[in-house]
Amino acid sequence: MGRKIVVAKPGLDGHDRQAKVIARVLKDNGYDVVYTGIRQTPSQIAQTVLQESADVVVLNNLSGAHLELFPETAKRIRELGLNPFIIGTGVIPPEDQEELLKKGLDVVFGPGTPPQTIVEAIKQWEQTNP
Amino acid sequence: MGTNQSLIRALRNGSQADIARAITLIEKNDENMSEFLKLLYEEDTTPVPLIGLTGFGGAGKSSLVGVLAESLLKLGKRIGIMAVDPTSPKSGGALLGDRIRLQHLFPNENLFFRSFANKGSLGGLSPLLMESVKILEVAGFDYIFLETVGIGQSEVDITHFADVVVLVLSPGLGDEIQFLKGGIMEIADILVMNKMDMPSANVSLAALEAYARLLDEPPKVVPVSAIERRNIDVLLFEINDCYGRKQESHELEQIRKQRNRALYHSWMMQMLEPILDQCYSEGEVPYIAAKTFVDSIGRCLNEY
Ligand SMILES: Nc1nc2c(ncn2[C@@H]2O[C@H](COP(=O)(O)OP(=O)(O)OP(=O)(O)O)[C@@H](O)[C@H]2O)c(=O)[nH]1
Ligand SMILES: [Mg+2]
Repeated sequence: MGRKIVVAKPGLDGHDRQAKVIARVLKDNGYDVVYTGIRQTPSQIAQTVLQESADVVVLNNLSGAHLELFPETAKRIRELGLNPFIIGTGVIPPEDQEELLKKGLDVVFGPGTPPQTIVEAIKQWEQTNP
Repeated sequence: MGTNQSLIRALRNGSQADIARAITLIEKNDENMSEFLKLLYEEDTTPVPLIGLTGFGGAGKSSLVGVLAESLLKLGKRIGIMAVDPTSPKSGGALLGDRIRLQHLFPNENLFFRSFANKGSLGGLSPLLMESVKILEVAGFDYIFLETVGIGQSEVDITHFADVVVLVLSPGLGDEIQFLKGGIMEIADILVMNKMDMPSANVSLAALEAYARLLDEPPKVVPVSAIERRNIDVLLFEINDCYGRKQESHELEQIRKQRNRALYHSWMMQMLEPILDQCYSEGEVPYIAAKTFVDSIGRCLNEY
């Protein structure tokens, strides 16, 4: 049973190269990947996760607004009664990573993380959530 | 038992969370599925127009569904959209990118969009898609749109069982239109030439019109631009008009009967798939092995 992953870009940055690379690598690892495109609001992402019954959500933001947008998106998703594995990616300094983990994200990766590391994190999560 | 019944009740109220849950239940072949489907088919539903959009990759199907949905939402309609993308035969994964074109319409309580990976099941048409249509019907949507890149494998493509079949083309196809002549061109109710904002789109439109005239039952040709929202009301009118005509002539009843039969076939193929392999071992004559298997089923049916 292939897991479904939503790759979403909250916020106003229009650079989607990284998100697209992540989406492609996930696809190449056998996942069904829904890509939302750029400039998504937290509530748009939450409704997408609900409608698609996504198991995993990968958030990507490069504008520096991750401290507001990621926790807000995670909150909206969980408010709908959903409990996907939520991953944050982008230009996130180590101190922000700590904070995001306290605010609803399950894993956070900083700049330069190879996409394969994200795949490994998902595979690990899958083992405890069959 | 109880959970299935409450799920059906929630569906009747059109709860998006429960629509998603119901589709997932079928996707995962959940142990509750067979009871759920039994209850689902006991529901009285008024038929909902199922509009199939198909055409080459990049023709603008998703953009078009987006602007059609936008117009209908303004009229207070509730819209369900299902979009199918191919599964990569190599990795088994899929990139489902159709949502991008209409994410701006969300959040919206009257719009439900679900992406599907076409797992290329043995029966062709996936039971999951058809049962999802049924779920959306019970949930009381006013229109259901189905997008597929379905050119080529005609008989097994679910689009061919839609109430109204729309073929979406874009300028610059030239020879490809001719290539299509034998298949989908003949079953399409409406031929759309999208991207009419592009230079020289008129040449492609003229070519398409010329081809359409050669067909036994010439379909309507509608030039549109999804990006500029040009002629969308005309396309909507033609879709409604086609649906209305098929309703009056009782053709819709026929289509729905065929759809159920096709669904039965595809469930059957899905269920047979694992046993089929068990009944063949290397070195056997393929034809004889198949015939032996089918004959033994035939004998069981006689006793049954
Ligand atoms: N110029 C122009 N471009 C359009 C129009 N409609 C869609 N496009 C563009 O065509 C490209 C493909 O559009 P989609 O709506 O994704 O096409 P599709 O047929 O759903 O594509 P697949 O799902 O990949 O098969 C996008 O870049 C759109 O912006 C139009 O009316 N005019
Ligand atoms: Mg599309």
